[in-house]
Amino acid sequence: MDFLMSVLESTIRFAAPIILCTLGGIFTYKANIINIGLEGIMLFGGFATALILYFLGFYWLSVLGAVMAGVLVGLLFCYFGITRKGNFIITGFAINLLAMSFGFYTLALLGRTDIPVVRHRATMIRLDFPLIRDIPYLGRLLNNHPLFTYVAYFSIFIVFVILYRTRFGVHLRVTGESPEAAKAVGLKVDRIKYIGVVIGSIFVALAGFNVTLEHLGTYTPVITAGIGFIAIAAIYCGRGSPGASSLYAILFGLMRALSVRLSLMIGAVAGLFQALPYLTVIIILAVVAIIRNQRTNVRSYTHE
Amino acid sequence: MKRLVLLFLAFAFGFTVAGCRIADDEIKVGLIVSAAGAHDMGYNQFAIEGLEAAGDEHGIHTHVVTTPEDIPGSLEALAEDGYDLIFSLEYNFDALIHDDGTGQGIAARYPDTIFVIFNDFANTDGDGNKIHDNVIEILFNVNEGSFLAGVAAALVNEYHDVLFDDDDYDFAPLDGTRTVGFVGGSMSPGILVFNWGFAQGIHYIAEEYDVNYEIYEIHDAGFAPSSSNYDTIDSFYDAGANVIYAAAGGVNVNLRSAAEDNKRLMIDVDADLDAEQPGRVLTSVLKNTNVPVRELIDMFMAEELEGGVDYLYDLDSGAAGITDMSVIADYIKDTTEAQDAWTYILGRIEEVHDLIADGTIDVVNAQIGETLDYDDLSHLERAN
Repeated sequence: MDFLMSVLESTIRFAAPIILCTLGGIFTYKANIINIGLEGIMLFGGFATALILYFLGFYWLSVLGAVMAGVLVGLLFCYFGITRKGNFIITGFAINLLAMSFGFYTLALLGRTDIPVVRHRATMIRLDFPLIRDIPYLGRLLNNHPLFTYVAYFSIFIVFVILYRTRFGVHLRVTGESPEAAKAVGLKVDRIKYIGVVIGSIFVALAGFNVTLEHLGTYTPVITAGIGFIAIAAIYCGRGSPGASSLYAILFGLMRALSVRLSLMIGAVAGLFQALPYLTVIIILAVVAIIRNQRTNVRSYTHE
Repeated sequence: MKRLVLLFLAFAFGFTVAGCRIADDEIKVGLIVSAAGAHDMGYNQFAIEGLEAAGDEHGIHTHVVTTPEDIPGSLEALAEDGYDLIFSLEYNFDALIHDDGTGQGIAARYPDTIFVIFNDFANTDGDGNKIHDNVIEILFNVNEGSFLAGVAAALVNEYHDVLFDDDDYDFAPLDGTRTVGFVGGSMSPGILVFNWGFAQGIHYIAEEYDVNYEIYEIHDAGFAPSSSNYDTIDSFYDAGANVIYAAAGGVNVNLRSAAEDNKRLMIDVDADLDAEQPGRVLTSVLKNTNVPVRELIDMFMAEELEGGVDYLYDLDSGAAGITDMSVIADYIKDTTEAQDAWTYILGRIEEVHDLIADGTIDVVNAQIGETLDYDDLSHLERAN
């Protein structure tokens, strides 16, 4: 029971940034843009967070900083990918490289190996619900997490509403599915794509905030640890639906938690378990693809 | 485009010329940092400080290579450039000693250069003979520093309810088996030396107080902070550890976060990092690389330095040990009882320090191939 509880507890924590990245990526996915730059945007978000906390020390200013970093990098991606019609893969890849080298460069300038913000964890907002706290088991799982862990789970609902219950959501999805039709009815396709990517980038940058302050208490250019790419896998497994994709994100979070806790119990072959999350990604992607292919074969026409 | 290329070439040429300006007969000392980077507030930074101080004093040319990506390439470049003495701080010895791809080691190809390596008897063969007579091995007896850290951890744990304020700390109670933790970056003698020294130090006190301790250990944390490492450390605290010791580079940042979140204690390593997380860091196990760098350069200038030897820096040398714990002292309660306990603990640490220094206590040293058998420790066992 204790083992199960600790695994679930870690899952909630591990899944939060993956969910935020996944939700952010869904906006670009819906606009029919492949954004492999999630990792880089997240890193910029964490970078802004750490820099502001380190030098100024204001919690909300660092949240704002992460959001602004997301907006700026989102605009950069849009400028090269949409306005200049560059290749999305190359643009995204460039953002990943830029984020990393930017980080290393700044660290060299500061003369540090990381930007520690551990001492600001005391000012970090943790939500303590008196009602939930007293529930056995569930209280331990759901209570007293940092603010943006809750924001991540709540965002699943927000993103669903934006995509399926607002005019902008309809426009974004139309733009992605059939840009010609969107143009024909007078929609400003590029502008809608811009807005979609920028909103998405804000969510991704908040994942950077979550990891930097709420998980690690430090920034280094390697903190993302592949979360951006795991999120891309989650998006494709869930076909861009906020609910389904987030479920996959949680599943990947669970695998990460399992790999940590199992390797603690077993010891010597522990290294093997660290491959578990990535192995799961590959297996799930393969299984989902096989199932989809079968369906299309049944209907006997070639999908896409 | 053509103009850009020309501009670039002009710059490159300028740098090359500047690089060649040093007279050939001048004494040149080089230093290559390890992957932790030049600004690691410890291991590398201390060595660089030692190098610069010695360079100023003797008026010699010094150069620091801050990119650890290509150690063999850097070694060769410095040696080719006529450097007389080269310190290499990275754990990467193969190309230097055995083979860099040309069939022989770099040390054999540049016999006029003295190479200094750290933390490993890489220049010693199976029979105990030195392979190259222009290589010097430097080892720190961090096992002894770690033993002291273990003694400090166990003593503070035994007296934690007297020493610390309940508002600032949230220790696991002292009923039954006590718990501590160790986090290592890799499964290697260079890391186990910390682990086993610490375990022995804990056991020394556990035996004296006749209480049982268990130790949670992990040896594959790597050297970079990550969410997984935070979780691992957090789970050690969850399991009741009041003090956790980490020798894993950047992972120590995870430890600081976890210690802060759990309101418990930790032990840092390599440099005096007590003030990095005031009130959480009990002490730091030191590896003062500036001491050997200074001494070797001084010996070299006095023309007394010879290769093919090793130097062990123990507690007495000032290059290994633990901090004076003055930072955590500010967090000890102001009551007479607490202050008396603290004075007692400091006295005990001093006493154990002397016992190690005069050889009464023998601490296992994984660096020279010794191993610790947990079965021999009556009051300490592995928890995982």
